[in-house]
Formats: sequence, C-alpha cells, structure tokens
Amino acid sequence: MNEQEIIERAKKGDPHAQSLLVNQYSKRVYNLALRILRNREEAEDVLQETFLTVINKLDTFDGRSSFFTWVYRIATNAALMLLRKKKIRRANFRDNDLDPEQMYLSNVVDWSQDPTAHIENTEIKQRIDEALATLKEKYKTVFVLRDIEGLSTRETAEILDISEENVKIRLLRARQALRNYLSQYYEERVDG
Amino acid sequence: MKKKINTEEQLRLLQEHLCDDLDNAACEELIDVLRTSKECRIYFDTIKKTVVLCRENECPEDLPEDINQRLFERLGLEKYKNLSDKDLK
Repeated sequence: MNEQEIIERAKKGDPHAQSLLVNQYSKRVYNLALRILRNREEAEDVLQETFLTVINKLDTFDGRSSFFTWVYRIATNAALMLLRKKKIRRANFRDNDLDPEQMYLSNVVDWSQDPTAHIENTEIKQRIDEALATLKEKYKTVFVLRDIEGLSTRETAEILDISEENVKIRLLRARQALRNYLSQYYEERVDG
Repeated sequence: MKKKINTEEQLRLLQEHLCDDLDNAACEELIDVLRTSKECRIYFDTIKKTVVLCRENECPEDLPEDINQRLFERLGLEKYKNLSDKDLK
C-alpha cells in the first residue's frame, strides 16, 4: 500500500493507517524539534503536539504540498510557538554582526584544515552547541532545515512560508554567523 | 582578461555553490575566484567546514522507546504501535 492510500485511510479515521503515518515520521519530527529547541522534554512536547494536529487536521491536507512538507510545517510551527511561548531570550547575534561583507572581510584565519577541527574535539563541539543555541530563531530554523535536514530551498521556503530568496539570505547569514563563531575560537588560539 | 567580480558577487557565488544552485558558467567563475583570491578561498573553505561540523554535531538520534510509547498513548493509538502496513486490512 502506498503512502497516498494510507493517507486516504487515515483521513477516514482508520487508526491503523494513522499509526503507520506516525511511525513513518516520528523520528524525523523529534530530531527536527530537538535541533530547533535543543531540549529533549520540549522536543517531546512538540512531537506530541505535531501528531495530534496531523491527525486532527488530516482532512485539511489537500495534497498541494507533499505530506512530508505538510508534517514538517506543522512541526516547525509547533517548535517556534513553544520557543515564543516560553519567551526564551537568549544572547542572540546582533544583526550588525551578520552583515555578509563584514563577516567576509574579517576572520581570515584558515582553520578549515586544522587537525583539531573535528567533532570529537570537545571544545569545538561545545563551541558549535553554543553557536547553534544562540543563533537567532529565524536563521537557526533555515539552517536546520537546509543544512542539517538537507531539505531543498523550495521545500524550506514552503515550510516557513517565506520566499526562496529569503531562505537563501537567511542561510547565508546563519552560515556566516556560525563560521564566525568558530573562527573566533581559532583566532584566539593563534593570538594566545 | 579575467573578469573581476566584487565581494558581494563573490559571496553570492559562494553561497549558491554551497546550495548546489550554480549553473556551469557560474561554477567556472567561482573556481576562477577561488584560484585567484586567497581570502575568498579561506572564506569558502571555512564556511564549508562549518557546515560539515554542524552536520556531524547534529546527527539524528533514534526516537527513545519511552517517548514513542507516550506519543502513541497520547494519540490513543497504543494498540496499533507495532503493526506494519502488511497488517493493514
């Protein structure tokens, strides 16, 4: 039975078909929420909220986007709503720090081949965790969807309901902010 | 004579390349830039490395069984949790 047939049965209230859809996407939704929220309990809340919405609103799914995109949109919105509801105020990167040209002109240390630049290096891992945790929500979401989840520009735009051009701009800024954060670490090592 | 491109244009090319959205002509232009501009090459390499490191840091976790169990309970679908599509009548 293909996914379309399972969706049709789930729409009619078949609990077995609904559970198949949950099994199909639950791991990806949980990981998406975890990456945006960086907290396991909150990721679980989003997971439950997402599938409650998916099942309750299945009849509104019209097939214009893929089912996966539709589920991801619900999950992303749930994660962002939780972030806002909890009024998480982190020390975000300032917009000025994200100016592409400024970022390009600064930080000329080439650490890309540095033997310490790998994820087993706990300092680097900690630095990445910090950077991702403090990255502004609108940049982080695009970065997670595009670079971590591997979605296309079009899919990301569809999920976030923004233009493809906007996705590209946010992605550029996110990458630069993260890269700058890591570059600072290597500059400090050179200076120190 | 090689075409000179400004920083903004270089950034756009680098970004497009990282997005795999470059056409062949733009790709050649980018290679030219990376060959002739050390700063640009460093920028490109460090951005690329940043994305790789973040990807490795964020590798997907399995859904813990207790979380999966609570999910199915919340949805009222516990009975169907372990059924496959082959069991679908």
